[in-house]
Amino acid sequence: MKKTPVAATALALTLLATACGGSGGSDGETTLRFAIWGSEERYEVVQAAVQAFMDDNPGIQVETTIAEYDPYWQRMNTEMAGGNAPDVFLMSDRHLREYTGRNVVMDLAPHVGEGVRTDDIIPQVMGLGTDGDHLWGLPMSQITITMPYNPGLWEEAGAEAPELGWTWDDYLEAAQLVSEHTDEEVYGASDFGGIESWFKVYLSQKGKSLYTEDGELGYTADDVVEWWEMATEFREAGATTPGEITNDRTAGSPMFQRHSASEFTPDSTFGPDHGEQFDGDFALAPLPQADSLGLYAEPAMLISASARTSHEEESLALIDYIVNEPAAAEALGMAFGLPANQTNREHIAAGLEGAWQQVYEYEELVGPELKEGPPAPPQGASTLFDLFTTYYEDVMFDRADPEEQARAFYAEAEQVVADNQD
Amino acid sequence: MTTPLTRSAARPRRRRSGTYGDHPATGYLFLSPWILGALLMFLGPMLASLYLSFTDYDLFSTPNWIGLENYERMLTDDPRFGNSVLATVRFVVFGVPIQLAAALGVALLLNRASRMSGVYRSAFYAPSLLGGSVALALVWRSLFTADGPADQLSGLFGMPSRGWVNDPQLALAVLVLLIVWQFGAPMVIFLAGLKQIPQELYDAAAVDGANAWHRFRSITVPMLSPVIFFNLVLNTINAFQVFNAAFVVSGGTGGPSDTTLFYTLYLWRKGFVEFNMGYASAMAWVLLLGIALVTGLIFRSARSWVHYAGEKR
Repeated sequence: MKKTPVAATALALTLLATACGGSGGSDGETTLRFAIWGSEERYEVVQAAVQAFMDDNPGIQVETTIAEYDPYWQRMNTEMAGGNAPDVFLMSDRHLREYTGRNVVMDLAPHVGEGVRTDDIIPQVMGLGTDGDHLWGLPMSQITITMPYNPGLWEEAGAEAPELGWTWDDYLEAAQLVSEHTDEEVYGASDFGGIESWFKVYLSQKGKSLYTEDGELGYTADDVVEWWEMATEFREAGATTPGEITNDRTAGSPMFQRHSASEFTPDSTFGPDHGEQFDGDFALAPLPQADSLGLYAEPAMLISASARTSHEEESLALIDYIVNEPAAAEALGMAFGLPANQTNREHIAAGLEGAWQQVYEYEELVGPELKEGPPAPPQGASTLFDLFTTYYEDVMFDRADPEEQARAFYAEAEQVVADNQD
Repeated sequence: MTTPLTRSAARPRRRRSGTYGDHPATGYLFLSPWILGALLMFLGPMLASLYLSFTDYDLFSTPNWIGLENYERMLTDDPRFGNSVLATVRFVVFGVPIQLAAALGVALLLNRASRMSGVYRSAFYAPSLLGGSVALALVWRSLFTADGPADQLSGLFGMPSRGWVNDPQLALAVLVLLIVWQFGAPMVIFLAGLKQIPQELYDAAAVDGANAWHRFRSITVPMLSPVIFFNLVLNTINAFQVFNAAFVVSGGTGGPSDTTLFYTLYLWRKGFVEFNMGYASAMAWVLLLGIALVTGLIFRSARSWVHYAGEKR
C-alpha cells in the first residue's frame, strides 16, 4: 500500500512526459487548423479541396472542423478571446468588423502578389474584404439571394410562376393560392419577416441600405414598420407559415420540411442533389420586388487567417489554394456559390448538374441586374442580426403589434450602433 | 454530512496532542490545495469580475473605467434584461415548488416498508445524477420538438401542438418539467428526514383518531420543516443558476420570444456573443446580490414555519 503514491507519481510523470513529447512533432510537419461553417455536404467538398492541397503541399497537415453557423461563431468568439483561434477560418460580413476592429485578423495586403493571388478574382466581390490599404480575406465566392420554390405545386394551385420583375403583391396572391389549395398543409411561403438578410434586400429595392458607408443605420424606423406590417399581412392571410412552424428549425427550414412551398435563401446553400429532396419539383426564382430588384452580388464569406498564427506562410498558401487553384475549384463546385476566380468559374461551368446547374442559370438570369455588395457592416452588426429575429418573434407569435415592436427594435438598434462607435 | 468528518478529525488531535500543534505549517500544507484553489479559482476571478463590471471590457482591448454605467443601463435601459429576469423568476417560482412537492410525494411513498424500496429509491434518484447534463437536455429537446412524443401525446387529447419548444406559451414549461423530473436529490434528503420522525408520534395520533391527512399536516410537515427549508434554499439557489438546459433547448438563443432567456444565458450572450464582458460581469454581481436577497427572505420567513426539535415556541 505504501508504494502506491510512488508508483502513481511515476506513472503520472511518464504520462506527462509522453504528452509533451507527442505534441513536438518529430517529422517537421506543420498542422493547420481550418474552421468552416455549413452543412455536412459542404464539409465533404471542403475536405476534398483540402486533401488536394495536402497532396500538393507535403509537410502541411490541415485539420478541418465544421459547425453550424451559430455554434461556429460562439466557439470562434471564445477561441479568439482566448488567443487560440484556428489558423484559417471563414469570416462572415457581419462579424468582419468585430474582429478586424480587435486586431485578430491577418492583413493579406502585404502578401498580395507574393503567395496570395488576386488578379483573377472578379473585382465586384473584392470590396467586402478591402478596407483602405488592408485586405482582411479573400472572397470565397459570389452569391446572391434567391427564392427556391416548388413549381409543380404552384401550378397545381393555379398560382402564376414567379419571373423577373414580379412584385410583393404577386407573391402574396400566389402564396395564398398555394396555402388554400393544400388546405394549409403546405403554406405558400415561409415567413420572411424575421431575417435581416431579406430586409436588407427590401431596403435595397427602395434605394436604401442596412448600413451607410460610415457604419450608421441606413434606414428609419418606418422602414422596419413597413416590412413587419407586410410580413404580418402575409401571415394573417395564411400565405406564410405561422410562428411555431417558422421557428422550428430542428429538421431544417420550413420549406425543407415540406411545410412551405417557397422561401428565400442565399444561392450557396444547396448541394447538387438538392432538387431530389422535392422529387425534382424544385426551381429557383428571383425575389419579388418593390421599386427595383435590389439584389446584391456578394461574396458568401471571406476566407481569412488569424493574426496570431504561428504558421503564416502555410496559412496564406491554403487561402490562395482554396480560392485560386483549379483543383480546389473542381472539388468545391458550387458549394459556396459561383467561384470568385473568373478562370475557375468558366472551368467548372461545363460540368455542373442538378441544383448547381440551376444556380448557375439563375446567376446568369439576374446577373445583369445585380448591384455590387455594400461595404462591411460596422461592429455590432452580428448583434443586430440576432436582435432583428428576436424582436420579430413577438410579432410572429402575435404577442406584439408590428408597429410598436418595429419602433422598439429600432431604438435598440440605434443604441447598439452608438455603443460600438466609441 | 460534515459533522462526522470533523469529529473524527478532531479526535486523534486530542489524543496525540502536540503532533500537529507544534507545526502549524504542516496543517496548512495539507490545506494548501484547497486554500490555493479558493484563492486562484474563486476569490481572484471574483475580484477581477467585480473590477470588470465597472469597465467596458470587450475581451480583446484594455478595459476602460466607466463607473456605474453598466449597472445603470441594466436597470433602466435594457428591455431584454427585464425579459431575462422575468423568465428566470417564472422558472424558479414554478419549477422549485413543483419539484419539491414531487420529491416529497415520492419520498412519502418510498418511506413505506417494501422489499423493492431500495430499487425504487435508486431508480428515482438516477435522473438527478444526470443533473445538468447536455445529453439529457438534448433528449428533452427531442421529446418536445415538432412532431415529437409530446406533440403526439397532446394530439391524442385533442390539443394539437407544433413542438412545445417552438411555442412561446409552452417553451418555459418544457424547462420546468425538466427540473421537476430531477427531483431525486431533494427526495433522498426528504427520505432521510422522514426516517427521523419518531413513530410514537404517529401511533399516538392514530390512537387519538387522526386520519392520514391530519397526521401529515400536524406531524410530518412540522417535523420535516427544517429539511423542507434546507431543500428550498438549496434548490432555489440552483434554479437561479440553470444554464445548460436553457442553452441546449433553445439552441443558445433563449427563444422563442425570449421566454427561455434565463439570466445566465443572457449573461453568457452578453459576454461571449456580443463581446460585452464588462456588462456580463455586472450582471453576474447583480445575480449574486439577487440570490443573496432571495435567500435572505427565505431565511427570514423560516422563523414562522420552520420548527426545530426541542425548540421552545
